[in-house]
Formats: sequence, structure tokens, C-alpha cells
Amino acid sequence: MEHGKAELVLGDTSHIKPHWASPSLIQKLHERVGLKLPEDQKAHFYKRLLEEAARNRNVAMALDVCVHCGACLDACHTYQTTRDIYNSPVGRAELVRRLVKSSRVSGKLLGRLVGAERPTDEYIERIATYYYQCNECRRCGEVCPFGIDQADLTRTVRMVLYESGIAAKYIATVIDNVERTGNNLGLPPKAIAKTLEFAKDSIREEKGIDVKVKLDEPAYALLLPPSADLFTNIDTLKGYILFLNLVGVDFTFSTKMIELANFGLFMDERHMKYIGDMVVKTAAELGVKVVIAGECGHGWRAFKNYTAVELEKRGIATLHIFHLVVEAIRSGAVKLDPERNGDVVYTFQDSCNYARGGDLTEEPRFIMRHVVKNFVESPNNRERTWCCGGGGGLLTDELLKLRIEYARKWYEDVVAVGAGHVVRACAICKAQLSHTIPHLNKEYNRQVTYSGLMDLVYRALVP
Amino acid sequence: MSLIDIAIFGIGLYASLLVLIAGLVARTARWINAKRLTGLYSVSIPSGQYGSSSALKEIVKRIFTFYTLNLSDKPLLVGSLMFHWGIWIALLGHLSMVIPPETVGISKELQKTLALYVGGTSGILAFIGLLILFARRLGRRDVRAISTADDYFALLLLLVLVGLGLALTFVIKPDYMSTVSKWLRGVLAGDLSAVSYISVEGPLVKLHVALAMLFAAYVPWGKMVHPLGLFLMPTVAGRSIGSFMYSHAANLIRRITR
Repeated sequence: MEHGKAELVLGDTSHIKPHWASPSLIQKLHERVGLKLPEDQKAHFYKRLLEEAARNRNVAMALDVCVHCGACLDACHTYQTTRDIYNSPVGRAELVRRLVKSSRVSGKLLGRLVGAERPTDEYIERIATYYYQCNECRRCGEVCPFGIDQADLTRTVRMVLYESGIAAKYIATVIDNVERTGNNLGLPPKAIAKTLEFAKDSIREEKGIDVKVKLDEPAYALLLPPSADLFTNIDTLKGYILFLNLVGVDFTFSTKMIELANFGLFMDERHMKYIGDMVVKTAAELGVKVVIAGECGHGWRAFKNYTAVELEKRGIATLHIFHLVVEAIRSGAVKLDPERNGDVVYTFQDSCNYARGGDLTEEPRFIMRHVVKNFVESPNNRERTWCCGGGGGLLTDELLKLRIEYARKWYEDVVAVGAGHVVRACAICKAQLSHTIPHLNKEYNRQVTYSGLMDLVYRALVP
Repeated sequence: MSLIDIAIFGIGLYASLLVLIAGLVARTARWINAKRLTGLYSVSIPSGQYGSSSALKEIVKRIFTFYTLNLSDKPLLVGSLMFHWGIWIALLGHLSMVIPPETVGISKELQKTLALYVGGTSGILAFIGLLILFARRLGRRDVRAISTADDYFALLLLLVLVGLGLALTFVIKPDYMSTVSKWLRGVLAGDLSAVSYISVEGPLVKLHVALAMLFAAYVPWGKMVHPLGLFLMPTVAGRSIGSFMYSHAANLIRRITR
């Protein structure tokens, strides 16, 4: 079967895997964070996994405390839509538990009788396959009575895989791009400048106002959008620019680092920090007082919990653009006209990383109520939101069939509340929706549309 | 008082308690010593709430309400609530074996009545809860697929233990305050001759007690250690950061609009 075109079989997703990164790409990334490819991949993976099971509290407790109640099975869209038990939080953990078991006395003596598995190449590939089917959305952690966050296990297992030389090509490539160029897409400075010019012209045409956009210039604030906003989500970008101009924030973009997304979160914490530190360095060099994050769920989680802490240590304030929009609405600093977003019924669906670990659930709702006339909640909202299906670095063509299945849950929520438009304030969500909505609209015979939140702010803003 | 009685209800009691305590300490130490953390926490603490008091509130809420289970099937939530509330009340009642009820102002007669009606009802609750959980584990194919020997062992042991407790409470009605209670208090105080109090009891009482000791010794080694987990789970008991952002936004807007 051609790689990447795998058909989906209900109950078995063991054959669906991403393209793997080449050893040379991994070696390049390793050198950047002080790692070296091990000579014996298998032995290294086994040794490091056992180490993590003993020394990493998230892993040790995930394996020790789970009572196999199966609550996570009902919470996990990857299992609910594929029915492969190993494509589930507890099922994935079982794959790891079996390997750990083989190091214990009972496992050594009785082997598979007590569920122990030795680390063969096939078994490691099986672990890699299923751990790269996880969206790291953390809904399992939300419903687990003990808060066992299987996404933490996913991150740790992927880290050990990466150390051993195994990683998804897409994630590794994106990390390489951002670490080399300052954005995930590898856009050169000229292209960034052109996009910003285009956005300025477009705002002049649509809103009749000349906005100021700085690039690599000293300013009070650094605006950090996900680079996808420069490419596919132009209306989101225009939303940031127009809003900040109307409230009078002196801000700049930086060609050195124009990326809020942080794929290090999907592969290795060392890269997450490396990418976060690039933001810190850029902000310090520009001498800004504030860094404002744009619309990106996982990027926000990494930013809020790592990069922001580092920036604050250096006296640079950090916030999300939504914090600012909320305050501007509250203080009357901007005028919004919800009529401009029409009569469509809008639903806002939280991106996983805003709601679970990002502490950003009420701000977007506050904004929604001020920019649209008809806003309805999806049944699974806030901390219980369904993943878009593209999170965790799964946004590749070879996984599209899987992603379409994964997308059913949130799509059915949109249908259930009778919304015509779904708002997801995250670059990964938007990319996933652009790929999957056409398929689902056809299948469910609907015309659901989507956008980010700053897109709606843009339209509602009265200059 | 036979040698077997001394071995089981004398030495056995000390051994099971020792294994329980040492096992729990070892487990806790293992988790605390596992210093590496996969960072960026906070799964459940609602937006904008931070700090240790909100984490403690969340833990208490989870322990008593099982609220996170309401996304799963009904039998899991109902079975868990019935079993846990039932067993907590029953265990609370069992404290009367160690602490004389009179010391907390409960007369002997009242204790007997409470044990029969409140203890009995909670025992029934726990038993039905266990049956529901067992039936669910066997009946739901995917839950069966993730079940281990440990899961079945814990369920079966508890079923027998609670079942025997019910039979004792409603059918056999032994005079446990002058046998089991005296034995327990005596042996715990270091008096091995107190084993003679329990040796006069019938086989079902002895079996119930012996299984309880087995259960205590088993707790730290398998899934039954789970209650301890909540207090150390990084995602629940851990810290979330970033509350400073709300004031930043207000300050920035004030500064600009001044």
C-alpha cells in the first residue's frame, strides 16, 4: 500500500503512520540541543524509557495510579472515532507499561503471560505509530479522576523516540524551519514584509484607514503571531493590526522571530525551550516592554507556561491579544458593531491548549458576545472541548484520512447547536478545519464555515 | 488459641500493617523522588484560579463527587459513587473496633443500632457498587480489553470482603465488640494473648478479618494505591502560572488610553 494513502479500518489504525524524519535531519536537530544519535537505537530507547518510568513523576504516576476505569476511552476522540484500543489514552499507556513490565522480575520470568513485551524494532515502531496518532489534546487528563494526563506520556515517549532517532518528518522539519528562520514556514524577511504591506493595503481598502505596521523597528510591544497568519489566515492578521492601531499600541513584528507556534511541545522539551528562548532574545534585542501573543492554541500554552515566564523574569510583560481586546472593550477604547458579522449563528469552540493548560476560556467568549449577534455554546465547551483533530503535529497529508475521522466530534457539536460558523482561535485548528470541513460538509450535507476570532473582531471594528 | 490463630491474627496483623505502611511510604517516596516533570501543567483547575488552596479544593471535589466521570458511561459514575461512599461510611463504622464508641459519646446500644442500619446500608451500597463495576468491566468489551489481573483481583477480593461483612451484619450477627474489637485493641497494644478473643469466633468472622488483613497488605502494590495518587499528581496538585497577564492587559490599556 502506498505510504500515506492508508485506508481507515475501524478498530485498527496500526498501519497509519506519519513519514519519519531522515537520520540527517534528526542529527541536525540533535546537534542544536546538544544531543547525539545513539549507536544502538533499540537499547537506547528501552534504557531511556525505563529511566523516565522511574524518574519522571508524570510517567511513573500514570503507570502506577491508573485503575483502568476506561473513562478516558469515552473522552478521547482518537479512540471514539477509530475504535482501535491502542489509539486511546489507556491503550497507548498499556504499550509502554508492557515494555516496563519486561524489566521487572515477573516480566523476565513469565514474559507475555504477565503482559510483558521486549523492545524489538517492530514493537518500538508500534509505539511510535500509536504515539504519533495522539493529538496531545489532554481531554483524557481532564476526565481522568486522578488527572492522569496521557498527553504528558505522549510528550515523554516522543522525546525518548526522538533521542533514539525517531520523529515525524513534518514536526522535525517545522522545528528546523523555525530554529533556522524564525518562522515555521521558512518565510524570508522579504516575503514577510510583502505580506504585511498586503495586509496594510487590504485594511485601507476595506476599512478606509491607514494603519502603521512596524517591522524590526524599536517599539513598545512585539506582536508574535503564528506564521500561518501571514500565509493563510490573513483576516486574523488584519484583526491584530487594525485593533492595535485603533487602541494606539506602538507595536512591531520581527523577521527574526515571527512565530508563536512551538512544535517543540510535540517532540522534545529541549526544542520547546530553544524556540521559546528565540522569542526572549528577539524581544530583548528590540527592547520592547511587552510581548503580545496571537491566535495559536499550543503556541499559547508553551508561551504562557515557559516563554512568558522567561520574559517576565527580564521585566518584559506578556499577554494574549484577547486579554487586550477584553480590556479595550471594557474600557470603551474600541467601538464594535456586531451587525457587521451578519445574522449567521456562530459557535466558539475552545482550542485544547487554551482551555486545558492555557487558562484562556472566558476572554474569547466575552469578545464573541461583543462582535457577533448570534452566539451559541457548543455542548462540549471550555475544558471539555473536543480537539480539532490536527493537534500534536498531525497536520500532514499522509494522516488526512485519520484527521477527517478525528474531526467528527467537534463537527457534530457544531451541527448539534445549529451553528453555521465555527470560531476556533488557533492556527492548527484553522489549518485542520480547512482540510476537513469540505469533506464533512459534503458528508453531513451542511455549509459550515470557520474562522479565527480576530477575523470577527476585524470585521466588527468601527474605525 | 491455636498456633495458626497466633500466626494469622497475631503475627499476621503486625505483618499486614507493616507491609501497608512501608508500602505506602515506599510508593510515596518513589513518586516524590521521581523529580523530572513533563511540564506545563494544570488540567483541571479552572481558568484564573491558581495556588495550593484551589488545588486542594479540586482534589477534595474529585474525591467526593467523582464529577469528572460524568462524560463516561452511567454505570462507571453510579458504581463508583455507590462503592466509594458505601465503603467510606462502613470503614468509619469499623473505627469503633479500635476507638471505643463511648469515648466519642456514643452509647453501646446506639453503636449497635448505627452499625446495623447505617453500616448495613452502606455495606449494601458498596456491594451493589462493586457488582455494577464488575459487570461493567466484564460487559464492556473495550474496558475488558484494558483490564489486568490486578483489576479483577481487587474487585473479587473486595466483593468477598464486603459480601462477608454483609452476611455478618445481617445474618450471623456476632458479638464482635467483645471478640474482634478486644482482639484488635489488645494486639495493637502489643498483647499477643489478646488473640484468644478472636479465636472463639466462627470461621466467617475469621475469614472476613483475615481477608481484610490481606487487603491492607495488598493496597500499596497494585491499583488500590490510587487514592494516594491524587495528592501528588502533577496535573492536579501542580501549579499553573500566568495570572499576571490579566493585570498587564489592564495596565497597558490604561497607559494607552490615559
